[in-house]
Amino acid sequence: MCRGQPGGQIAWKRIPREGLRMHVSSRSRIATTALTGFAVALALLAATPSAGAQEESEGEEPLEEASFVDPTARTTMPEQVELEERVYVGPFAELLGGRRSGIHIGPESNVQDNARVEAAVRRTVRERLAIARLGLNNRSGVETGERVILAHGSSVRGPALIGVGAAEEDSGVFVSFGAQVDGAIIERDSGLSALSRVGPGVRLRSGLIVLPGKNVTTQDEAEDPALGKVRPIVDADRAFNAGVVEVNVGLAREYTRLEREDPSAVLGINVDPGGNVFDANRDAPTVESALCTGPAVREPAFRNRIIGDVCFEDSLSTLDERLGDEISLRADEGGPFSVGTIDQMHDGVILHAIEGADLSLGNGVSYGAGAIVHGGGRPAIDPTTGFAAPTVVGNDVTLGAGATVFRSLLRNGVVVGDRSAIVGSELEIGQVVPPRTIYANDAAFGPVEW
Amino acid sequence: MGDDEPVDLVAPTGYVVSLAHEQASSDGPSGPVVEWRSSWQLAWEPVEGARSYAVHYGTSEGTPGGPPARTETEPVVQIEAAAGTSAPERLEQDRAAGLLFTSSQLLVSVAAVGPDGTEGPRSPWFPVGDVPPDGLPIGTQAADVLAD
Repeated sequence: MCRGQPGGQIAWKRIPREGLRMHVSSRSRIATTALTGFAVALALLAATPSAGAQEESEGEEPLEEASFVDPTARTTMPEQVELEERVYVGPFAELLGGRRSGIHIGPESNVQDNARVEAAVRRTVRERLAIARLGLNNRSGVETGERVILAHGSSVRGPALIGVGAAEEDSGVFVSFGAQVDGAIIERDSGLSALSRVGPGVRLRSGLIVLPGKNVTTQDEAEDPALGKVRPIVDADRAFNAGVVEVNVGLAREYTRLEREDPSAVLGINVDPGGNVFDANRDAPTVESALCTGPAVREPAFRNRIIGDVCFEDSLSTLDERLGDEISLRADEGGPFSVGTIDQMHDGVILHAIEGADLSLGNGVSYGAGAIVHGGGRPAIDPTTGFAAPTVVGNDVTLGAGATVFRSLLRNGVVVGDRSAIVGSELEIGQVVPPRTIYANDAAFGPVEW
Repeated sequence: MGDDEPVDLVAPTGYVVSLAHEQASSDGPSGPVVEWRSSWQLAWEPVEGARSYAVHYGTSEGTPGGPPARTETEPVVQIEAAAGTSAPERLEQDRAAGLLFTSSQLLVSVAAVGPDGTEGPRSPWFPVGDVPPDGLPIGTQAADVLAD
């Protein structure tokens, strides 16, 4: 097991290359491909149906120990990327090792859809000096401890340590939607709320969570809740972290099982793995009816990951025209997702839902790059079911780049600005939420500060 | 009937939610601040034949399987749901938002447990932190339906 050492030094316990291959590429081939922003990157492309349909063949990791890397996840320098057991890496996640710096993902951690981990980035002298005070340098790379959650669209810019140090209670670390750890140390039993950031040279100590949208750039801000950027962690946070870890360990197991049975089933448009308490059945997406009455589709060659009970009003050919790349629509927990006609869906969009929750998306919706719609019961009763009303996005809604919608109702014509988050709110017809705004309980909670 | 014989249990009923707040005022770097903590409580009517109550957590990322997260001997569960430090004029808004953020990611479902350790039907999922004005929680969906 790899542990962060006092003073921020990293003691690498290198998983043998075969170890990574066992988790990642024994059922994959590694190919060279061009990726935006990189001269050359190595993409992991599942292709070799060598695993067969058996549960565990000789030499295979037991399912209960298995890590799963979605075939669309990408890495540079794969020899510099190490995954321990029971890790889940979601669609289009990026693990970008450097020539002299690595990435180590600890046991039971997960790197969710479109999350990005960079072992090293270009730094200003000022940033390097600040980071050096943490005992890190450009060779330190990125290390996560046990039970670290890098949620949808989050990012880590190395060097960084996440989930290290001793804590009275160890609930792991949750890095929420669109949050960023940038040249920082995040101790165990802490976390970052949606769209927040911890900047170079800062150590977030155990017991504290960064508030939504806040940008922590000084140690004082990281330590003093009176400065308005952090708050104490509470029991509900710890219960949540434990639950999320368990769910993603289950996803690693069930996607591994699915891949062993049929390697093509974890590609493109395809079934969800089922087998979990929150989604027992394997469902395939459907097209030509948002009411889920159209034909089911399995299209492993499709460039995006569309998984499970997603029901499109558009035809497959229309989706091919209107969808960008690196899109992850995952009905592998909640569902069904009812998706009306799509005006445009730009790169990196994510749809997801909590179990038991469906998601209704209207006609003519424009989804900005990296927008996230997360289904969950709203704080209102649906009179037709007697249960919590679902998350609904109305017709002709525009979601800006990086906008996040959770547990809300967006009526027709709503415009959500870039990198704004809508939580637990009901927006009126045509309402406009400015860019970089945290909007909660039907009111502006505060800005996204970075 | 012996102590460990199975009994027919029903799902709990009569759910009521409430909040309890603690707060203390002090001087912050730029003026007075209030340090606050809020606990959320779900209570229900006792279930005949129940020896205890299983408490399951669900999350915005899915629902863990396995054994209950905790066990209660009385028909009530209390969870520390939010905390913060706020300027006095922001206290109510910050507290409401903190509870909302928690309710958006953590849910709870409860079930009676019989003398033989068998769980009865589960309650709906209730968001931790939500307290409607009438104190009657709004569930998401019956948890045992999903588990079937």
